[in-house]
Amino acid sequence: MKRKNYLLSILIILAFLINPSSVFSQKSPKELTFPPLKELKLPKVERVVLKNGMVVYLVEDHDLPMIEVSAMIKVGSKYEPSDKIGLARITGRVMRTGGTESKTGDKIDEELESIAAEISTSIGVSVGRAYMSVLKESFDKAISIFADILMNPIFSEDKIELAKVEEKTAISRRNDNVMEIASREFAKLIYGPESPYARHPEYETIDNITREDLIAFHKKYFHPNNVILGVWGDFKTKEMIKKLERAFRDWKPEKIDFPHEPKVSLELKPSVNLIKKPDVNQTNIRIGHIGVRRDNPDYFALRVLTEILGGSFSSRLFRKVRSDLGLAYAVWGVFGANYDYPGMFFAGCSTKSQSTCQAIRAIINEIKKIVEEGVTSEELKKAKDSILNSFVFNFDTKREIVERLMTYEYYGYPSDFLQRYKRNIEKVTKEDILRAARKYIHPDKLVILAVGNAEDFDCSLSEFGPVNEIDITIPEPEIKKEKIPEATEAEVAKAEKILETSIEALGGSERFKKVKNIIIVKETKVTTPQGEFKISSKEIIIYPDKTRSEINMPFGKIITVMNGKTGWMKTPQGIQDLPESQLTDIKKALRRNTIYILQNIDKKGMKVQALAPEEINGTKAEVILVTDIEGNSIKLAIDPETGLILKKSYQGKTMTGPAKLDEFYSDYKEISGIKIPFHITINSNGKKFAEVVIKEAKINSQISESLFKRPEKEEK
Amino acid sequence: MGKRKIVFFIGLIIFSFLTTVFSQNLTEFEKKVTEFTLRNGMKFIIVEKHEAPVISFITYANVGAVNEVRGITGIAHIFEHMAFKGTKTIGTRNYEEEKKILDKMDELFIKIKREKMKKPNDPKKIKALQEEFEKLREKAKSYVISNEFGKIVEENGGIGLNAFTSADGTGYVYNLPSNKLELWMSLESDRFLNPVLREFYKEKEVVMEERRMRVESQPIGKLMEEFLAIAYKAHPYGDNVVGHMSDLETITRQEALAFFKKYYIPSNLTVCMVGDVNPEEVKRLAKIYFERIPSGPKPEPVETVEPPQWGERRVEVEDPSQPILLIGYHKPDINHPDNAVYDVLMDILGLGRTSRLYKSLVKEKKIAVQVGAFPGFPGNKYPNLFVLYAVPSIGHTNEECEKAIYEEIEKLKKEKVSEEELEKAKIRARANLVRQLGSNFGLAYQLAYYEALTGDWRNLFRSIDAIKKVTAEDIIRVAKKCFIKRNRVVAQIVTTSSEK
Repeated sequence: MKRKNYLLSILIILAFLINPSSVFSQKSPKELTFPPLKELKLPKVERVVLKNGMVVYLVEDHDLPMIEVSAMIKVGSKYEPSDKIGLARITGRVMRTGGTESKTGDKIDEELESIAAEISTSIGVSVGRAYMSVLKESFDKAISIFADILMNPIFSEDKIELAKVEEKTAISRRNDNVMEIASREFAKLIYGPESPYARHPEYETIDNITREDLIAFHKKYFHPNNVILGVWGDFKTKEMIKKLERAFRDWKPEKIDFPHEPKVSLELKPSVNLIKKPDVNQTNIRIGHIGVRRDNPDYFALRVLTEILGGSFSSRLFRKVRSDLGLAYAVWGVFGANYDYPGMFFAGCSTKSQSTCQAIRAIINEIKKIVEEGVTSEELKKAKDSILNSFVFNFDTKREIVERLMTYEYYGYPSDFLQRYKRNIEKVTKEDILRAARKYIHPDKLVILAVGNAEDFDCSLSEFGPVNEIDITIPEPEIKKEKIPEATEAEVAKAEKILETSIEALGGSERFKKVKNIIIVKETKVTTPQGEFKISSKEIIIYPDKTRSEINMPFGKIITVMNGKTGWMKTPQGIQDLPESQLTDIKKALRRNTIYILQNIDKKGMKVQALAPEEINGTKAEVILVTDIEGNSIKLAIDPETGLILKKSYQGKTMTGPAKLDEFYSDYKEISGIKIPFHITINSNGKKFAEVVIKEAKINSQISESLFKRPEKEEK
Repeated sequence: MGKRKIVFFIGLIIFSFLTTVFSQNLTEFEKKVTEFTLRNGMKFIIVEKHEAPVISFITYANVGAVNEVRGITGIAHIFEHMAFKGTKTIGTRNYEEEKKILDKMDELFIKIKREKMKKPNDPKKIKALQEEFEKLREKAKSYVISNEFGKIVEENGGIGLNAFTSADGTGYVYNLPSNKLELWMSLESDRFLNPVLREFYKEKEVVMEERRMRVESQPIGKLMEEFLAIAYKAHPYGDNVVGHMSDLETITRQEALAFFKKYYIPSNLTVCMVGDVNPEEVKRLAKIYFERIPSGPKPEPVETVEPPQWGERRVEVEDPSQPILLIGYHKPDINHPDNAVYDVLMDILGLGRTSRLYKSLVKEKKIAVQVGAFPGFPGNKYPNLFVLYAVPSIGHTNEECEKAIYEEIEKLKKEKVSEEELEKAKIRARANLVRQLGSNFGLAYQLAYYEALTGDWRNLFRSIDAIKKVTAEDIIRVAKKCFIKRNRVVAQIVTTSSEK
């Protein structure tokens, strides 16, 4: 018997050696059966309320000598005023970087690094967060800094400035990425552009934010009774509670008057929208409408539906749009549900320009199909298996376990919501999905957005409905938005008087009105980090609405002409019409021309206002704000003694984008009875940018109209 | 930016984790590790972590875009996509019948390709052939069970099913509940024993969309591609991982299969799994499932060596987006004795809020909103680039940032870094080195990566020791050698008007 066994095993080994793929031992996935999953050892979570009202969740975890702390604070950008969008985010950032009453932000950086600890803070749409991670032995030091940051931030000006630069840079770059454009603009289409759940900062709203705003925003919401804290790691719960009581003992509860929660309109407004981006060869498509909140009883059916429609590798959209049609690498289809406000139902993909419409049709078709036909039993089983079998991954870290309980309490959900979720997913039937799909998905009321190079699309988007083109030009900040209060009568009177003196000193109102045209030859020295370079140019203005500039560049001459309505440009490469944006810039520049302003100062709609005086190169100058009928404004600084304009400030553009420009005038010379500055220094955002020396200026010359006509052919 | 931060925290957590738990004591960590090599040369590394009943898996193939030649650029990545298309038994209703059609399609594809290459070509003939091809494709489709591989993983509770291709290697990953170990064995072994490259020509279109998304419709994608192109004139590191569009169009299924056969031999594969596993059970099953993959000759390494530059190289990408600056210096590979010095240089120059570049460009001069440094681009297996980058803040230029970066670099060449800074840099270097170890997956990836690139996963820990030994003199020596103009590559986005 024994021997026989021995032989048998030799035979088996031999078989194995000869034919390694021994058929009897390998099983295909379908043949496999699995042992039951080991029971989850759920950690004990303790919930306590500190004396000052702060709720704390604690989980001991002695595997590693580490402690982590996470806080949720009931605050959010949804509570910030609409003229200060960005306030919450900047507050969240500068809390951490701007220092506290006892330490500067830089000192905090150094101290934390020396103990290999990390602390971060942020404020999102509906929640503020703080997080800390530290070695057990450095916990006391780190928690005191953590508490200090939450309780006593001082929001130093230099770090506010830094945060503002970061915000503005992000604004200037927000149209660089198609995906970012699509998700931002789609949210605005669903929630409305003013909704706190979709709106975004502009240069202007960032400029409006002051240190006082940050202090007030923090003061209003950061109280212990408004905080839920989670702590997990290597500690004893009792001791930890004592430590936390100590760290936050000076923090007193306070009643908070919360603003109204923003309303979300559930009304469906179908539309077809296009954002033109000629420099890309792939279209980003979003299709959808408003969704539901997570506490909706149909959430569970919709969750399973998402899994089947677009939420997995084997989902319908993935299979159809990606695998079958090869139209996209990235495909989505999600029925979103937020804790505190309705999410978005949306599907979409990124596809080459030439298959844009094909992809839109394919996606809409899948949406229609699921609403009309529902799902199959096989799909339902697979989707439920997928959700339920991966349930264990909800517990694979302590952080997930603690933060989930914090989240449920924060949004007012039952603490066993996850278990209810599991039970409810198990119960979902095909009928539930069909009913929920028909109730919450409306294929005939979809919002469609395509961002891409419309010229290369495979059809006109009008196939799907009237097309609304969205302009995503980034609005430039304007000087008048510098929070200048309404002009008082006295300020207007003062401004008028100063301007009168100035006009008189510069040549007199009559002479200004008689200026028909001016020719200026100048040399401009531009300062760049690589050094200075000189450009010579000639400029002709025929008032009120024509300009021609000739700039001599090393590679040849550039002529730019604006003849009232249209314009053109001639370069060594050829002639082209000026695009709308450039025309607008030139028109704006003409309206900032000093002679133009002084000719039009008494026109209807022009507003003037005296502001606080300013010192310029030792002279105390009067500052006048001039705003035209379109709302464009400039500031003029005038020497009250001589009436000469010393400085002109305005919002303009340089090669690197929008900038605050200051022009300093000197070396006034009289030309045909009018005083003109022959030396101009231009600062961009406070830094020297260019120096202009006027070589020649002529008023009311004979100027041929032909100079403004677009040449038919190349002139030699 | 948000994501970066999260990664950084994880890094710190893990750094602390490492210093106290296993970095100071590799032998401690080794207790949790079991490793074995199958008879066909396939390597397994197993790390036991029993806190939760889950396992993270990675199969790391030591083949990447660097193994491609011109004409088939992008093929490593195409194969990665194809590895989700199933096998002779998964994803098909009738493999025998399906195979006949797939072979016919291959022949026809080559015919169409040749016809298109003719000058002049016959559009009518091409169209007829393409129609025939479409018919075959429809027929082949009737045998396909779409995405069955992914479906099996998902319905069994698998999450994070994914794969990645880099210049150096290709990784296949997912996580399963720990009672499904044998499912992974079955699926993954079949995947590399009997891959069927079905839906090949459609999937290439998906890859082209991926290229459009990652490279052609993104300023940073365009910039990276140009940057690599001028940095390497000889070595294949100069070609983008995703491949050139015309190569993607013309690559055949037989070329992809040949690439697979050459590089996916067991001795070129490393498996790492981390989680609630019994190593003995893994060993038993690995023998049953993976030893059936036949062994083959180990592929030769890339022989081309990038020659030294004869002068600085610069390139511009004209784009209607905002400026971005990339600066690269050629440096040696991961197994060079100075590798740790570059890690320290990265930390001093470009990591975190107290790094020299952040302090100078972001905090003080306010000319950039993001700035940093990283060695090992686009890979680490062969001599590569030490990269510095800056994202200028509004109203500021690449030129200003470039000048400020050079100022910091010159300082490093002239003045010794302080002991304090060096200490801090070493701590942060360790944090950065292990930043991906936060999850089971991160750990699995790092171990497999070090095993493949350096021949021993322990070098992950030894690299931390090497960093500890770096001196202030080392920094000056390496900075003087590496950070010179002639060794430099500069790429930048130059903003143009968006109108065409």
